[in-house]
Amino acid sequence: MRKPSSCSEGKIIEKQVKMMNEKHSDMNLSSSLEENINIFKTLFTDDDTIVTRHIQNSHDPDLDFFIFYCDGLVNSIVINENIIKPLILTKSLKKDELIIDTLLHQVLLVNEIEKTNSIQKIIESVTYGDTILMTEGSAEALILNTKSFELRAISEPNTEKALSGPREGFCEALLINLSLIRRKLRTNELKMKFYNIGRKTHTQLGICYIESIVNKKILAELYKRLDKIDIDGILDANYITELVRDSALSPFRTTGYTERPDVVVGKLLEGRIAIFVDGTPVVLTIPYLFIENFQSNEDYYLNYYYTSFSRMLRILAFFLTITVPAFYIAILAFHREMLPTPLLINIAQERHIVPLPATLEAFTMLLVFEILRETGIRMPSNVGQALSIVGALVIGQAAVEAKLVASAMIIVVATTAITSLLVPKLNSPILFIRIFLLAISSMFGIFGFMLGLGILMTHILNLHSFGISQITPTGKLQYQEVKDIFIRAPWWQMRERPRLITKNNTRMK
Amino acid sequence: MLSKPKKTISLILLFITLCLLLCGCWNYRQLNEISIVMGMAIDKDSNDNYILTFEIMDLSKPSTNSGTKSLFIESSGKTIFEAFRNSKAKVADKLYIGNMEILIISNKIAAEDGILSILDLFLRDGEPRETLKIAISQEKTAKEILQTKGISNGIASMDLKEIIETNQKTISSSIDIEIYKVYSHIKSEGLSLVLPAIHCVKNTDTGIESQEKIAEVNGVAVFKDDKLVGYLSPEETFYYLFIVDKIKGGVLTLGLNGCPKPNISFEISRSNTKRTHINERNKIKIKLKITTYVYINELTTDSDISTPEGIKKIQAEAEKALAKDIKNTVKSVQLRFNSDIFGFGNIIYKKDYKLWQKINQNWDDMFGEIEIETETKIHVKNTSFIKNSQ
Repeated sequence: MRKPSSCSEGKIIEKQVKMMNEKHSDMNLSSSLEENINIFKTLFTDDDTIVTRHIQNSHDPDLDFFIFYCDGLVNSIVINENIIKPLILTKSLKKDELIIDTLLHQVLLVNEIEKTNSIQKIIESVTYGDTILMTEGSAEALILNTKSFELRAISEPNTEKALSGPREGFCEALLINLSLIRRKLRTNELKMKFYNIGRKTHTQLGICYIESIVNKKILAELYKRLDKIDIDGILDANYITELVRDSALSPFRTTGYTERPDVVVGKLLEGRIAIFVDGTPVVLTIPYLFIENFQSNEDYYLNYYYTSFSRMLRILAFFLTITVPAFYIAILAFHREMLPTPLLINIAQERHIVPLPATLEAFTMLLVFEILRETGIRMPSNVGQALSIVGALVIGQAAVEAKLVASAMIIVVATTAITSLLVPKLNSPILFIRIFLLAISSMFGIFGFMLGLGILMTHILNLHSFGISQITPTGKLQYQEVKDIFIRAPWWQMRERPRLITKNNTRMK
Repeated sequence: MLSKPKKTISLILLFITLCLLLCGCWNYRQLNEISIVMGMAIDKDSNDNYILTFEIMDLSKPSTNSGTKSLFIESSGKTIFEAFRNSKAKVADKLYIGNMEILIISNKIAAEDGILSILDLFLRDGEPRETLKIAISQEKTAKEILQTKGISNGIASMDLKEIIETNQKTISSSIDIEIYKVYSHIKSEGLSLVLPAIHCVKNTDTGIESQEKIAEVNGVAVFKDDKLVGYLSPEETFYYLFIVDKIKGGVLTLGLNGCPKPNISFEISRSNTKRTHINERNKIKIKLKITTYVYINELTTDSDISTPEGIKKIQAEAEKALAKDIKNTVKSVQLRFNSDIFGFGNIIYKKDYKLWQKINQNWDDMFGEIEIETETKIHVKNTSFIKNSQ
C-alpha cells in the first residue's frame, strides 16, 4: 500500500505497526474516515494484495465511500455490479448518522452483510475474501460477502476408497463440506456451530451434531476443551485431535477421522459429534470407540455376510500384525518343543547358515520394512515401480540367497506387513506394540509375550474418548451391542444406537 | 504411601523381578546352537557303562537339494545323564531332545535292570516330551535299530515313530504307547506293561544283494513289573489288542468251509470289547464281550455273500475262530509269562475293590489259572463291489 520512502519514516511506521499489532485486538473504529483509512493502511503495510478504492456518489460528491478487499479472494463482478455501481448511482442518499443502515438495507445488493466496529473482525473478514465498506461519519464498517476463491473439486478421497457407496469426499472449504452434510441430513435438528481457533490463522471450526441424539455431556466437554486451546495456528484436524484428546500419550486414536460425508452422517446418526476444520478435508468425529478402528463405511453398503467376515478378518489382521514376529521369536528361541518336528528341522536348517541371531534378524527386517513403507509414501509416485522391484528383489530374494536372512523370517515380516495394511486406522499403535511385544518376547519368551499382551489389553481397556470408555467391559455386554462389533448384523436387526455414546438409542421401532 | 513416580518405578521393578523368577524352565537359545536329536538308543557295555546313541539331524546342508540326512553320535557314562552330558565332548552344539521321537532300549537292560531306571531321567527332566515313544530292541544292541535306514524319509527315528503310531490303525501287530503311560502302567494295580518290540530285517527290495538293514515292528515285548520277560509275536499281539480293547483296525483272516488256508479277509472297521469279571463261588472268571464290525475285502472261495443267510454263516464261523484265537492267546500268555498284560486284575481293582484287596497278594498265582469267557459278535457291514469272483 505504502512504500517506506526513507529510513526515518520507515522506523516510525514500524513502531506504529508494532503498536497496532499489539493493540488492535481490542481497538474499535473511529468516526473519522481518514483516521480509519490510516489505521488499515498501517496494518496492511507491505501487503500489496490489499486493494483500496475511494468512491463518490455521482449525485452527491460529498458522499465519500472507501472500500478495500484482498485481491485474489474476491469476486470482482459482485464488487463492480453490486457494490460500486449502486454506491455511485443511487440517488437521494443523505449524509447522516444512519447512512450505514441505509446502505445496508436499501443500497447494497449483497446477500450477506455484517455491521461491525471491531478492527480485529475486519482484519479476519478481509483476509477471508470479504469486502469492507467504510464511510465518513460512521464508526461502523460493513463487511460484504464477496468471497470467491479457487478450490479443489469434490472427488473421492484417496485414503478411503470404497467399492460401493457414495464416492464424494470432502474438500478444503468448510462451507462446502458442511453443505455436503446438510444435503444428506435435511432436518432442523442438525446443528452446525462455528468456532474460531488460532491466534494467527483464525481457523473456523464447524461443530455438527443432531440435537435430539447427541449426548449433551460430551458436547459440553468438547466446548470446555476447545476453550482451553490457545495456539497460533491450526492447519489440520490433527492439531485439534492432539489438543483435545484423552490419554494424551497413547498411540491409539481417541477421535475418529474421515474424509467421507457418508461416514460423518453415519456417525452423527449414532449420536456422535463431528468437528469440521476449515482448510482440511479431514473431519473429526467424537467420541471414538475402539471398534471403529475396524469398521469401514463399506461394511454398511455391502452384503452383511461378506462384511461380517471382512470385519473379523480385520480384527484378526490386527492381532496377527502385532503378534506374529513376537510369537515367532518366542517359539524359536525359548519353546522349540512347541514346533512339530518337521517344521523345526526345516527352520533349523534355514537358521543354521544365517549369521544373525533370530531376534536381531527380526528387528532388522522390521526396520527395513518400515523404511520401505515410509519411502513408498514419501517418494513421487512415478518411481514406485522401481521401489517395489528393489524392495521385493533385494530385500526378499537376494537376502535369502545370500544367506543373510532365513526365508521363514521373510514370511513373518511379509505377513506382518500385509496384515498391517488391513487396519490403516491403527497404523501408529501397531508400530509400537509390535516392537514392544517383540522386545519383551525375545527377553522372556511366551511368558513375556503373554505379559505384553496383558499390558496391551490393560491399556486398551483404559482408553477413553471424551469420558466414554472405548471398550465395553464384558460384564455389561448386551446383545444389541454385539451386532455391530465382530459382525455387522443386517440393518433390520440393528435397532439400537450404540449405548455408550447416546441415551436416545432407538434407531428403529 | 509412595509418591506416584516412586510407585511406578517400584511397580516396573517388581514386574521385571517377577518376570525373571516366575517363568520356570526357559532359556534363550538360538536354533543354530542346538543339535536336534531325533532318536536315542540306550545300551550297556560289559563294564556296566551306559552307551547312548543319538540320531541327530544333519543341518549342514540346506534342505533344497535332496532330503534331510541324519548323523550318529555315541557317548558313554556311568549313568544315563552322565553319558548324555559326555556327548558335549564330541559335539559343538547342545544336544536338544525336546523333539526326540523315539527311545529304543536294549533288551539286555530291560531284562536285567528293568526300565524304571531309565524312565526316571526322561520323566524328571524338563526337555523330553511326555509323548515320547518307547520301544524294545530285539537285536543284540539298541543301536542297531537306530542305525537302520528309514525308507520313507531317510531318518530311522521318524520312520519308526510313524510306523508305531499307525500300526494300531492298520495292521495291529504292535502297540502304541507313550512314556507317561509306560510309567502309569508299571505302577497300576493288576496290569503289566507291554512295549513295542523292534527287530532288523534285510531289505531285499533293492534287487542287488544288499547289506542294508531296515527296522521292523515285530509284536510286543512283555514285562513283569518293570522287567522284560518275553515277546508276543505279531499275530498274538493282534488278539492281545482285541482283549484289551485297543484294536482300531487290521485284517482278520479265516479259512472258510473248513479250509486250513485262509480264504477270506475282513478289514476291521471298528471293534469294541466289554470286559467284566464274574465272581461265582469264589471262582473268578473274566468275561469278554467283543463286538466287531468288518468289511469283506477279499474272498477267494465260493461262498454265498449275497444273502443274509450266507453272511450269517460267515459271521458265525468268524466269531468261532476269533473266540478260539483269543482263548489261545490268553492261555499262551498265562503259560509262558504269567504276567497280567491284559489287565484282568485291573478290571477287578476298578469294579470290585473289596475283592481285589482280598486277592491282591496272590494275584500272580491266580492269573495263571484264571478262566475267560468270550462272547464274540462279528457284523459284516459290506462286501465291497463284487459278489463272488469264483
